[in-house]
Amino acid sequence: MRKFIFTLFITLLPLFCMAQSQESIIRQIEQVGSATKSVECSFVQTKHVKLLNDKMVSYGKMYYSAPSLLRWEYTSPYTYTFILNQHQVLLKSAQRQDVVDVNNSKMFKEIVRLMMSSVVGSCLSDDTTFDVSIASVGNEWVATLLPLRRDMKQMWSRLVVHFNRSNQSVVKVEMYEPSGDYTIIELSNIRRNATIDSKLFSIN
Amino acid sequence: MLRGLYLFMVLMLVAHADLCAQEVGNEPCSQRYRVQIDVDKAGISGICILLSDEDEVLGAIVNEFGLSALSFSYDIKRDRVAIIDILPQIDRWYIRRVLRNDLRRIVPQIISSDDVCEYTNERYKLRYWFEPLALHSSNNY
Repeated sequence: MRKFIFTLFITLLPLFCMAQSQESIIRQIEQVGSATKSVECSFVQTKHVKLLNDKMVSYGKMYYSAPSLLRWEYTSPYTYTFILNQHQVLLKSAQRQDVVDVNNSKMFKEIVRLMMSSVVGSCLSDDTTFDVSIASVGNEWVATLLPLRRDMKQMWSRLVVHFNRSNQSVVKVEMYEPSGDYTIIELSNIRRNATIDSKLFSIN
Repeated sequence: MLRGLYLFMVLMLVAHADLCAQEVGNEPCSQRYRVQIDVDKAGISGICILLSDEDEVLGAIVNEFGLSALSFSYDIKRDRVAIIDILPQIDRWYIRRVLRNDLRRIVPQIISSDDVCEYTNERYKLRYWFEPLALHSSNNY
């Protein structure tokens, strides 16, 4: 009996250690995220379309200011701007611009919540929305998020978020869709806690 | 039905597209267009990627954040559109029907032109606008 209990303990011990390690990684990421007042970076977005065996590459810049200011701007090969300012969202293209109150749109509210939580890494502890597993790969922590809710599963089969281990910054996000299409967003020139002109988040 | 179409617009968010105006030799041609679709006071913009050869046009419309909204094929000889894939949230038989009918009218216009193409569905007050971005061969990303 003692031998059985000992064997069981030895077998389960690595799992226990892994669970703790994942928790401590998430805690580290969230600590840095909560201490982050602003983020500014460039990004390259590559959309892979399975049906066409083709991809579309876009370039842009992102600005974030805690707790609820976000500017996601595409600069090439087209211009498009998404600005979140408190509870309002501005969608601006060359043809038109629209302002949406996220409180009036459940879907917008959810998308905005997901974007903001991805920027600061708080999506990792959102266990009502995702089943999260984290692995160390080289100098990165790679978090795989499997959607738990039906509405999220309809849009994504899984999300993969890459964190730089040395500074806990998000450096890459992979979004896989049930159809086989996927999008990769790679962040670079990341600056944290620098002063960002508030005009960049202006909705007017 | 109009509400469903409006929901379609809201869900799509935005991107921009190229369209294929002509083939490059016998190689399939991939083009992209900026897309603007307006209904009533709502509107969205997106990207449409088209891959066309002499028999068929394959298309995909995606949003700004990398989410595929719609993929379709247009059989040139039979003049028929098939919706291959569509966001589940907007997958309704009436939306598919409107899109099939509208794309059947729009795509021939686009592949025969390298200029801005517009089409209005008068019944549902849907306005489509496609602006060419660039011409790509299928192997040139």
